[in-house]
Amino acid sequence: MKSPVVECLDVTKRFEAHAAVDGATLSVDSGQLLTLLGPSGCGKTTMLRLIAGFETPDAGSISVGGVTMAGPGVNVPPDKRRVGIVFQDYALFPHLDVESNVSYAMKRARRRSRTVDKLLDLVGLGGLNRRMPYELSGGEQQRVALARSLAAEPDVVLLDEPFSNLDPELRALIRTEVRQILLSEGATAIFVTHDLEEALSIADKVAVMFNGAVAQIAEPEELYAKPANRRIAEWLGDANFLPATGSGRQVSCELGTLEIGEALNGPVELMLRPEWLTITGDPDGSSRVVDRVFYGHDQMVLVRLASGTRLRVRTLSGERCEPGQHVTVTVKGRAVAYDLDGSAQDRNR
Amino acid sequence: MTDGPGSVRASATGFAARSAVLPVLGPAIIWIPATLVAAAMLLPLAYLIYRAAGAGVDAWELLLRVRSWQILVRTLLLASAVMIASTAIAVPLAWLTTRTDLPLRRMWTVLTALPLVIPSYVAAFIVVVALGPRGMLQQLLEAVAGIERLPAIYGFWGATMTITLLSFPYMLLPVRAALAGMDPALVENARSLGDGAWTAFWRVTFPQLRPGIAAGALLVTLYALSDFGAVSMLRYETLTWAIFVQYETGFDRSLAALYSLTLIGLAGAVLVLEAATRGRASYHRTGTGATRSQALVALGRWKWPSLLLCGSQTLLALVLPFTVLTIWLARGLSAGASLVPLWSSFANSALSSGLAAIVTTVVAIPVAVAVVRRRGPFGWFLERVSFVGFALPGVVVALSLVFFGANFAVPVYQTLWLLVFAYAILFFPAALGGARSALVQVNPRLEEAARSLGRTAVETMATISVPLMRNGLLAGAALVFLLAMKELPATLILGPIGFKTLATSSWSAASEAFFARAAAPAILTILVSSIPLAIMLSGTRAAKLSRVWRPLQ
Amino acid sequence: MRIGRRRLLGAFGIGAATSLMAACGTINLSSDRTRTATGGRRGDLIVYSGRSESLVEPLIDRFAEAAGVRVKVKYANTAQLAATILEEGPNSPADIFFAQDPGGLGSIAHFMTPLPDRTVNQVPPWARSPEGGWVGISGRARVVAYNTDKLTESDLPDDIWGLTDPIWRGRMGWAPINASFQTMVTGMRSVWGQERTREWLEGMIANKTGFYPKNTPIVAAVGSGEIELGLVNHYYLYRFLAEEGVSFPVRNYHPRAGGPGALVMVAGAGILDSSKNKDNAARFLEFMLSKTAQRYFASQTYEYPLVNGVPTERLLMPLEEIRQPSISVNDLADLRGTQALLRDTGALT
Repeated sequence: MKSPVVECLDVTKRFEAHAAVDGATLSVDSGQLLTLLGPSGCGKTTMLRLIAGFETPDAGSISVGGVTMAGPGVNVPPDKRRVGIVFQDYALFPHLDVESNVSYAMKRARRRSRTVDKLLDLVGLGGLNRRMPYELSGGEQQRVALARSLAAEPDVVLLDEPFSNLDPELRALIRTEVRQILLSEGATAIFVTHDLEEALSIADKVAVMFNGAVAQIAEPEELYAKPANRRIAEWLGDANFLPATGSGRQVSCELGTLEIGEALNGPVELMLRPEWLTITGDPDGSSRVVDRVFYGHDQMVLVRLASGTRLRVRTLSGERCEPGQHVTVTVKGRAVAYDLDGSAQDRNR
Repeated sequence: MTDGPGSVRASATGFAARSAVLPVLGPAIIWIPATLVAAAMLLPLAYLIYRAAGAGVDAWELLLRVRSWQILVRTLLLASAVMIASTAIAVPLAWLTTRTDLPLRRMWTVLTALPLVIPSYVAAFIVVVALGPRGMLQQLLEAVAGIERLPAIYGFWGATMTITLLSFPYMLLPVRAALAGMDPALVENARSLGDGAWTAFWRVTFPQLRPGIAAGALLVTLYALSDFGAVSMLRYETLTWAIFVQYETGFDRSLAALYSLTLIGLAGAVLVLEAATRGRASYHRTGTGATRSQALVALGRWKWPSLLLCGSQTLLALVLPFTVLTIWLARGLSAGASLVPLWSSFANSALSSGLAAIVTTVVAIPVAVAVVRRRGPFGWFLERVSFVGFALPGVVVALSLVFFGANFAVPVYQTLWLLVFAYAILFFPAALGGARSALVQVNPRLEEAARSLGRTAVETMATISVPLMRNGLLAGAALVFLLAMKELPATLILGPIGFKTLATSSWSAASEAFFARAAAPAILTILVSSIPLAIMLSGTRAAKLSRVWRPLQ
Repeated sequence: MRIGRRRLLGAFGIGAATSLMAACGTINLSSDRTRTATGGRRGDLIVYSGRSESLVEPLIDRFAEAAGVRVKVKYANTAQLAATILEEGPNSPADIFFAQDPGGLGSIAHFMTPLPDRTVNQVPPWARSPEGGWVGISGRARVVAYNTDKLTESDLPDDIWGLTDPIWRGRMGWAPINASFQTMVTGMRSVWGQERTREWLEGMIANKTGFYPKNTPIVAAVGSGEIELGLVNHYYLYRFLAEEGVSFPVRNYHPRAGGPGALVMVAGAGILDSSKNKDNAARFLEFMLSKTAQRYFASQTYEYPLVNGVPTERLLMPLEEIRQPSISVNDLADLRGTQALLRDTGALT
């Protein structure tokens, strides 16, 4: 087990009456890429600024590399934290060329032998040393900013919505690149994003933030498959909800009796991702296709159950179905069940 | 704030918004100097209160006479008239020189702002000589049309005209900056929604210009309140006149202090009024240079009237004084008057004004950070208090520093440093304006990035903030330089013993009616202070200097 | 264009820096500081001169050379220098105060050191302080300056009381804040009494006499014909004659019947009590009363020499022919009473 590089415990930050970060706790292990995911205004950028040392927490503590940076009586200034940052607008120094931007931090780099050229090669910008920032495309600026933050050999690199200013076509490409660069450097990094696909595709771990607190922190697959509560489930993609009654590790609902991961009794709510469902044409089926949206590779079929509950089902596009058609819905994955008040598994609260 | 890809520059849409730069730039290096600056600005005020406290019953009686109220009313009338007249001149000129196809636009851009360099005492004397009842103009008219006497230039109208001609560039510059920085899309939008050009101006352009006009009005009004040279020559009794009379005749320092405090009270009211006029509305793009070029308005048949406006203003405010000075110089030289060698005066002027420009600009940086990056009540207070020196006549500031210098700071008393200190107090708003508007354009993320890259607050300022503020700082320094070049009372009273500058040489000769000798240093003063101003103004992008007195935040 | 301007700016910066350095070289900041702060060492003399540099500098240079004393002079207006000395108090670096008028000297009388009799006795009693605090250096006469195109001397009244006649309405100028003018009014109160002086002032105001800030603009206004006559000191005329030639249409009139309008006053000097160079200061006064200096005042500044045996410039009416009112110097001291009267009548703010 690796030791955490960044550890935040019960961190709170208020701006006047409003608590932007409200008792947030998270940790990142060495070499891990963590994504802070959440809707805008959830406090994720403030969290990043707290770690970087641009803001001082009102409560809680933050440590980086095992050293307490902020906490009761402690507030290490940003320049002593060994935390690199890549801003949303990259914040390249406009009066310095690429080389000077990248070498800005070099004076304190541990490995002096490391040259600007190597860094620029690493980010794929070899030979652009003399360019000025305004002569670079957005993607190039982004990579210069990354190289600049790596030049200081920080314990952790923070990236604040790093891809949001890029053209959508470039975005996927560049974020893969950035991930490769960070991995090859063995760097520990925290991304902030509100883009689900981005969060899930780039991260080793995702921390979901709502209202200033970390609601769940997990690997992307687990987060998607087992969201800790209904809100996270909705935020992380399409989700169907169905009333059910639990008894032990089984629940019964309109779709039949299903297995769940843990024992629950009494009335519960089932969460089913659309792709966990399949439909089969069945003239005797009690459910009917209401509508269909075709995406090319797949399609989303809207089905109304006998009870009137509507479910969305994702199927491959080859499977034909028409509105009005009678179908049977079956569950192929493992459903997730929540207590009705949604609080049972919301342990971070 | 979302920006297009690849445009760190374009993203500089004004970073006045609260940000966490306080820890980033370090509290100590900001708050300590900022507090010291505030204390320095309050020195004259402390002196005046000390002196006023010694006022006897008779001084209070004199202050509260009906006559004093009349003076107060006259002062307010003059200040308001100058403010209105300056707006009437500055707004059209600003528009003509930024938004239209006015012929020789670049030249007019420079010329219309140049009256800034003409000292008030020179201008007022020249106005009387040239436009007086039997002045040069009358002689010309007598030869042509037999007119024997012109209506007296003295009093309210003459003073208003003279001070307006000297001070309207203080409004021209911020209005120009606002026009140049305004998003052209706004006007285009309004036009596309069916507004006529005129309606669009009133509904869209004018509200955007309001902060610029308010900032300019503030400076013009304070100038009119503190000017002495013009009101004395043009014989219009204002508060500064009353203050001067006390120093000139009564040596009654407590009454002079009471009048000065009244003046500061007026200035304070103007500052509050300006803040109120601006209201809470936010004007987004006023903080930046134009990010896309704007289509120029074709003047068409209005071209000639526009040229006439620019030309007559330049004629009155620039050509006239320069011509009169040149005539004096030539006449004196031909009559065999000798020219005192001017080299050492020139060197002293350049030295003291140059030091003032550097010191004031450097000191303005931490204050600008406090004002821009942390807009609390203290920042608000700092910005207002920085105007105290600007609102007071130079002689009052000078005597307050005599008092503090001779009694509490003997080692610097009557050294160049105390003079530079006086200049800094008198002209601080010029430097602060430049630093402030430049810093508004520096993305605080840049400073944060530098801190994260291991640089201390001071290193960050030195390597990132200050280089990026360069243009604004230079513009502010240029203004301080020219204001110090023409400053007279503080230079006379506080300069090191034996210290002659161009301004004092000119004054010394003129006060004894040696106009030929006065002309040469006056011309040199004007030329030397014009150089940095002209360079700053002739920039392609709406004059960096224009940014200096951008609206207060 | 951009680069061009940048270059210009750079050039300006370099130019400014060079001139600064050059100036620093010529001025030597630090030594100046110590000297002025301690009030000077042996061989120094510091003069606060309310008399203009253009008038007295050549003479002071001559003294410095002859006496081997390093003289430093602060030139400013007399009243402001008096105010400066009042603010400086006992810390004043000045040794000598050389004032345009007795009013300025009187206002700081309590900071003056008594002068030896042999110094003050060189000038007539009306030209020195009865307490011996200051001594007159040169004489200056009050005159009526009139425009020779519009008036001849015979048009002018015998004494200035006649100027209250309504025929002079709108044709005159005066400078009520000017110290010389106020001294004249003080003399007037002594000769005519308070009530008659008040009547005169009210008569002048009723005649719409234009107020000017000082003497020079009055002479200029008389010359241009803006007004026909003005109450001034005699010597300003000669500066105009020097610059504009003898055709300048203004001449001086010393009221033929004498009276307060024919007052002769002095510009004088005294030694400050706090002076640390009293010997040099005494030598300075001696020099100013020497024949050399007195001849200089007579010939170069067109003032009246005060020491026996020095002839008056031939353009000037000899002192003996001016019908000076007999007023003691003490009677001229009550400037406050004069100012109260001027304020009462509205002549002064």
